[in-house]
This record gives sequence, C-alpha cells and structure tokens, in this order.
Amino acid sequence: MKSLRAIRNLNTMKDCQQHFETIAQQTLEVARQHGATAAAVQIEEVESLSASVQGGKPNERALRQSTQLRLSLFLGQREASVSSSDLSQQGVAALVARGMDSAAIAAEDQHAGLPGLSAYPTDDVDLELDHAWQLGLRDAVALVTRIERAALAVSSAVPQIEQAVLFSSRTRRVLANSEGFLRSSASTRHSLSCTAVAIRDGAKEIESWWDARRDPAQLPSPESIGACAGRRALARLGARQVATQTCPVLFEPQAAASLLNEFVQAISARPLYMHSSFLRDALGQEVFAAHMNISDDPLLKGGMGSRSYDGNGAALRPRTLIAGGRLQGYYLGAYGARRLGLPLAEHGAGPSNVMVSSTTSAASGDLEAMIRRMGTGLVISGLNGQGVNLMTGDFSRACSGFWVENGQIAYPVAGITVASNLREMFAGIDAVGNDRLTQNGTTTGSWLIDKMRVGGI
Amino acid sequence: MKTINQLAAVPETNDGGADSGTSTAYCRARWGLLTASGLDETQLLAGVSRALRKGGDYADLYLKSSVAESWHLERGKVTRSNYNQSQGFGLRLMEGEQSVLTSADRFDATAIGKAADLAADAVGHAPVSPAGLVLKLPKRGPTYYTLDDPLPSLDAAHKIALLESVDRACRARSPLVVEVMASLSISLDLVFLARNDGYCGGDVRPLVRLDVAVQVVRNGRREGASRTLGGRVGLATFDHAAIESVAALAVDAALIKLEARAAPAGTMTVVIGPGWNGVMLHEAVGHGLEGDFNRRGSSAFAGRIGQRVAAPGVTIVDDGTVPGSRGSLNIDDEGTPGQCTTLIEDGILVSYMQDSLNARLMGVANTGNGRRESYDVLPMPRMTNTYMRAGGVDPAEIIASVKQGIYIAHLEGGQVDISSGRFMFAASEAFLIENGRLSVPVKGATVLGNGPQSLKNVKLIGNDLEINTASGVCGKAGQSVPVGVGQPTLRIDGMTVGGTA
Repeated sequence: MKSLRAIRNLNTMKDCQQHFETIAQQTLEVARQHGATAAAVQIEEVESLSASVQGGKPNERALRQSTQLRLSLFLGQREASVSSSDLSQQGVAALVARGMDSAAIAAEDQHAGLPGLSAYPTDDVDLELDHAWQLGLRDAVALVTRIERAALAVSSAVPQIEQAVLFSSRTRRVLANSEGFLRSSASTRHSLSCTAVAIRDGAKEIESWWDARRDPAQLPSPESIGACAGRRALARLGARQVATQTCPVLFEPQAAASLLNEFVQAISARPLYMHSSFLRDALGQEVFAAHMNISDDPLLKGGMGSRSYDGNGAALRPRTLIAGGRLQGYYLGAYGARRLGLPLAEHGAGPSNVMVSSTTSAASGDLEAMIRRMGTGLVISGLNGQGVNLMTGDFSRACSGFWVENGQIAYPVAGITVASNLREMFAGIDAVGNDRLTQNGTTTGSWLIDKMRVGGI
Repeated sequence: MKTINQLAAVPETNDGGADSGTSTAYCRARWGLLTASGLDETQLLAGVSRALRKGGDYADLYLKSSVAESWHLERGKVTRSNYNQSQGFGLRLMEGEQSVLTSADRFDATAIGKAADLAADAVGHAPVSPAGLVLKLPKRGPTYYTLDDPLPSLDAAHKIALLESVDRACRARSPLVVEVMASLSISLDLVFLARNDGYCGGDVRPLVRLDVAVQVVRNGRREGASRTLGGRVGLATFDHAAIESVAALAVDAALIKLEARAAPAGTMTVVIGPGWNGVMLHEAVGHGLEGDFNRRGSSAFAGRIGQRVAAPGVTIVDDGTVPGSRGSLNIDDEGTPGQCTTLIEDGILVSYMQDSLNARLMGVANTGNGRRESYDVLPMPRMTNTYMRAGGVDPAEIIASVKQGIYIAHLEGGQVDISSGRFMFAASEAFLIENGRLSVPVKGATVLGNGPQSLKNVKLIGNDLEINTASGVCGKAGQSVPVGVGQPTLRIDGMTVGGTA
C-alpha cells in the first residue's frame, strides 16, 4: 500500500526542510528588495490520510497534500498579510508585490511589528510531537471497521453508526523572519472517532466519542472508542425534559472543558483589547472559586497543545493562569501585549496544554461520588449551540445529560437549556472531581456548579 | 458541439441572450484553471479514465482556484488587510457506496496521473484498459449571479474609503457608539469539473460581504451588535444607501440591548422575525432533510416522505436559483444545474436534498445539492438557500395574537441533532410580548425546538418573506459552505426558552 509520501516529489524530511527553509529565506530577501522594513514568513505543508466506515464497508477514504506560504510584510508601522499555495519564484514575487501595495496604503498601527529579539527561545527542545504513522488506506479501513463492530456490539438498540473515522496527518512548518528567527518543526496528529445511533420505539439518539494523539501507539483501542460512542448513544434513549427550575449542575469533564474554553476566549488578546471580554481589567481578581488552579504547559512532551514558540516565534513557557481562584495572566502574544501595555514574557500566547486542578478533588472523588454529593440536580454530558456573550459573560446553552435524585441518576435529559453568567458560574464551582479527562490538550475533572437556571417545561 | 480548439481561443463567448450565462462561466473557468496551467479537457478526461482502470463506477476530477482579500477597520482606520490565493484538484472515485479521494495543490498532468493511480490502487480490482471518454459540453443554462471578478472592481483606496464611510455612518447614528469594526471581504472562486460520462463544466463564483459590528456604552454598561450585507454581487451593492442602512441596523440593535433585562425561562409561544432568522428553519429541518442522513436512516425525518411533518400552510424550499445569493449555484460541485426543490409542501414532506451518490442509492432524482468546501474534501448533500414561502398574515397581527411570549428580532447561529430532531438557536435580540404588544427588550437566550414537532406548532405565517443573501455559513462534518436563509414572520407555540429569569 502506498505511503503518505507517494504524491510528493521530495523523498526525505531533511531535503524537504532545507527546501522550505531556502524558500523562506528567499522570500524574506524578496520582501527586503521590495522595500519591506520587516517581514515574517511561515511555510506549512500538510499531508493527511483519512478513512471512514459505515455499514461494514469503507465509505470514504482520502489522501490529501497541501502547502501554504503565509507572509506578513511591514512598512514601518504599516502591515499587510498575504498567503498563497504557489511557492514558485514568480508566485512569491507577485505575492510580495501585492502585499507591499497593501501595506503602503494601510493606516499605521503603533503596535504593529515583530516580537523583538528578547522574545525568541534560546534553546531548541524536542517536544516529541512528530510520530509518522506508516499506515496505508487498507490498514486504516481495518482499524475503523473494528470501531464500528465494537459500537454495534454494545446493544441491539445501537443498530447503526453514522460513521467511524480515522484521521492521520503530518504537518511540517518553517517560520522565519527578518529579525533572524529561523526554525523548522514537524508534528503529527492521529485521531479515531465514532458517531453511533441508538434507536428504540422509533426514537433516535446520536452520540459521539473520539480521541487524538501525537503518537499513534498511544491511541486508545478502536474498540474502546466504538464501545464508548455506543454506550453514550444508548444512555440517551428515553431522554426527556425537566421542569423549569434553579438547581445545582454537575458538568462531566468534556462539558466542563467547554466552559474552560469560554474562559480561554475571555482572556485572549483580541476580545480583551476590543473590549469584548468580561474579563478585561480582571487581573489579580478572584475569577474562579478559591480552591481552583489553572495552569498551561506548552512544553509538555507529546502534548496535543504543545509548542515551544508561538506563531510569531515568541518563546512559550509553562505558567499559571489561575492561582487560588485569582487571575494571574492573559493569553496575549506580542501584538496583544503591546496593545494592552503588558509584558509579553508574562502574557504569552495560548492556549497550549491547559490543566485544571483543585484542592477539593481528592475529597470529591470521581463522577459517581460527585453525583452522590450533589444529591438532586442536573448532570450535563454535552452542551450544544452557541449562546455565550463574551462581553457580558451571559451564558445560555442547550444541553443533554441526566437528572439526579437522591444521589443517583434517575433518567436521561435533553431538550433543555441551562443559563447563568460566567462570572457567577466560575465563582460558584463548589468542587472539581478527580475524574480527569485529557482531550485535545485540555485536562479537567468534572465541575459541580452551585446553581444555574434550567429552561424546560 | 464546439471542439476543444474552438473553446481554447476565447476566454468569453457571447451568443447574446440571457441563457449564454453558463457558457460564459464555462469559458472563464476554463481560461483561469485549464489554459493558465497548460491543461485541456482531453487531459482531464484521460485522468478520470485512468482512475477507473482498476474498477469503480464513477469518477470525477474537480479543479478549484480561490482568490480572496479582506480589509479591516477599527479605531477609525484600516490597519489590517489579508490576501490569499490557493488552488488544487481533487480526484474522486466511487464504487457503490464507497468513495476515494486523492487531492493535491499542483495543477499538472503528472500530479493528476499520480492521483489517478493512487485512487485506482485503493479500489484495486483487476486492471482494465482505460476507456476513451468523449467530451460532452453542458447545455447552456441560466446564471443566478454575476460572473465578474469583484477584486479589481474597486482600487484599494476606494475599498478603504468605503470602510471609513461605514465608521462615520455608525458614529453619526448615536453618540453612545464607542467602537466600530467593519470588514470588507471579497473573493472569486473558479471551479472546473470533468466526469467519467464525458461531461465537463465550469463555474465562476464571486462573493462579497460587508460586516459591521458596533459597541455602545451607557452608564458603564457595554453592549454590541452586528449586521452583514453582501452576496454573489458586485461591490457596487455597498452604495451610500446600503451603508447608511446597515449602520443604522447595527447601532439601533446595540442601543436596544442596553435596555435588555433577563429573559424568561420555560416553554412558551415565540414569534420569530423575518429574513436572517430563517437560520431557525435551516436547523429545524434543513440538515435533517439532507439525503445522506436519510439514506443511512440516522435522521428524524428518515422514511417519512409523504407524511405530515409541519402545519398546513408550511411550504419550505431549498432554492439554488435566488439571484445574487451566497447560497446560489449555477451548477453544483458535481455539475448538476442549480434548481429549486420543494422539501415540505403544505406541511407534507415531499423531498430530501440529494447529491449524485445519495440520489443514486435512494433511487431518486439528483436535486443539485452536491457541494464541497473545497477540492480536498468530498461532496455531500448541502443546502443552498433554504426558506419558507410567505403566508398571508400581516406581521403586526401575528404579534397582536400573542398574549404572553417572546418576539425574536435577531438570532446568532444555531445547531441541530439530526437524529432526535432537537434544534437550537441563540436569540441575541428579543422582546417580551405582553398582551399582544412588544414590551421590554430581553437578553440573549437559547431557544430550543424539535424539528418535526415545532413545525407542526407553526400557528401563523407572515406575508413578509425576506431572504438573507449575505451572511450564512453552514458547517457539516467539518466543511463550511456559504448558504442563504429566509422566512416570513412566524408564530410557533411551545418552544423552550433558556433565560435566567
């Protein structure tokens, strides 16, 4: 079976890296000749393979390859961004010319510019992100077939899947700029996913499970992915609404990760400097309950969110975002830091690998223990739709999960909403479970929030 | 029938008359994609044929180029601009229900040949000699949007001036405006397709949008609102009147939000305003009526053709022929001409939306809904412009008919669970209705319904159909395509509202 490299002309990684580094440096030189006072170029090549199965047969298989060159051009404090898939000399020359015309006519932005020499990493750490998978389409189909089989084996009430997918990609990047930064990196991402459909008495419910790794040897078994999707779909059957009320809400780890993502957005550069985040001017304040800590480690070996420098080359370091509930820093990067007048070294870009911990976790136990602790309330397995106003923190989203009475799950719930305000929700986290789940670079246990308004019958 | 040589000479044919439209589209796409790369139809068809030499019953080769630029204004100045160009091809091979796709971003005969071999190996039966394919040019057809390239139609200085005039218009509307963010996005896609039945087709797809977002502050309370204009039209659409209008809509909406109180929670009657709010229908029935979900039996609407799924009077169409709309298609991404398909007629389910694969497997007609985000992903049934036809009731009467409920003036996006039929959308601008009148504005809240159920609870249908041609982005399986949405004012009973009060 042909490998991923069949489409490409260059056969060794070293050749490819040198080839892209040469193009990057030539591009910077062309920019300089066109009058750019500074420039940054990124070349990225992605190769991927995907296979999916449905009804016992392969249904989609794909091999893809693409290359993109992105360029930021500066004329003093004026800037333009351009990108192209044409890496030929003529293509790059035309691209630079176009970009310089745009830069010349743009208004000055006093905060524009490259990160500055002190921002770049001084060492070169191998984060172990590059694990190519020697896998052909036939092998991929065999793996996803096992996913489907396992999902269907869960119950006769899970008669079909919507699909099971394997996706494997390798990305090569070169980043170079006119301050002398030049680095190459390679990373891989391999994922398995399954979407299963449960059917009983004409009612259908659909649920998914997935996981992703840098190293395919670390992936959970296809059987575990399929079985989990099947079980989750099965657990949804008979879902009903509950009455409109105010009650405690327990977010399962994957749903808690969604709330964590709202926090990440609210401390990101653009929402902050555009005044569209409710956490503007919140540095040093208690944003979460005092037992919570949130950290970010960009240098975790093999981490799904790991990288040693950001998109502009600025070094990234492990840091604490929330300590004892208090906000310690923002995710800014060079431009955002300048715009907000804060030091880049303390407010690097992100997120990378975000980890939630709490002094309550040891005592809280796992999800079952948290359910017992809650007594009566709502467990949320998934949040759907939009419904978050980041400017005000107002939160109103649809959800599915389970109703809990007397410390036990009573029945599945769906077709309801939960609403509150993120400020109140974060402050109202009573406990974090030790049922830690890591998905896509985020690690958290479940969150028990004291109260939210449930919209139902 | 024209020969390749006759086509090769001219970038533009003009037989005169409205229905030379798709001929012009074909020639311009051919010029931009094939001629510019030294390719012709014979080579593309040879590639398709080569892909089939180890089995398979259908193959196509899809070439696409995209050029896009955007300009962004904030703090009164245009400080950011982006320009992107990309191109590539996807070679698709099908055998029964199975599809194989190989794609690359180099347009040359060698890359196409390699892709064909990879695809053929994936199917891998005993080799047969490649069939000679005879070129079949498409019949001439109507076009639904301009074929002119919008990028060079205004120089950069005028694009910047346009955005600066948006800034002035917003700030002039109210002294409470503290931030204006305006973006002008302009793109041109060329697509060309060669199929194993010898068909070749091409399309030219311009797209423009003007996004305006404003923030207002009063007494320490800050709120924001945004509106969008655009479509598959020229930049001349953003004239003075249009700019004044979009600025007024955005600013007025933000000002109303400054007064908004907590929305109620619970099940209640909802009146939904016209136009963009048709996103509700897109979620409520749109995805659930896509052919692939129904063929696989995972949709709540599977097996229900001929059944009542909505109240009498509810007629919903998916219409690829709306002039100048971002969801419209002269041809879809499999070469099928754009058309208007009635999905629900007077409350009865009459059709799904199909691409070629799902139509063939379900034994029904292809409805021209085969779309793909780009050359490196496979087509699947996707919506074009999905809207409900107008009814006969005055919108003022619809509000007057509600004793206690919510009026939704504007919603953000939505989402749907196609198996259970549950759908939701985020109402961002809404009012309480008390005794048949709009009373206080309320804050954003998620509103939930169930597709087959909620449409049966449509009580009144307004006579004010509006179709939004400017803003819709539909996501499915990780692929985004531009869509149009629309509806008249609707009253729907028994929807769940997720307020905090």
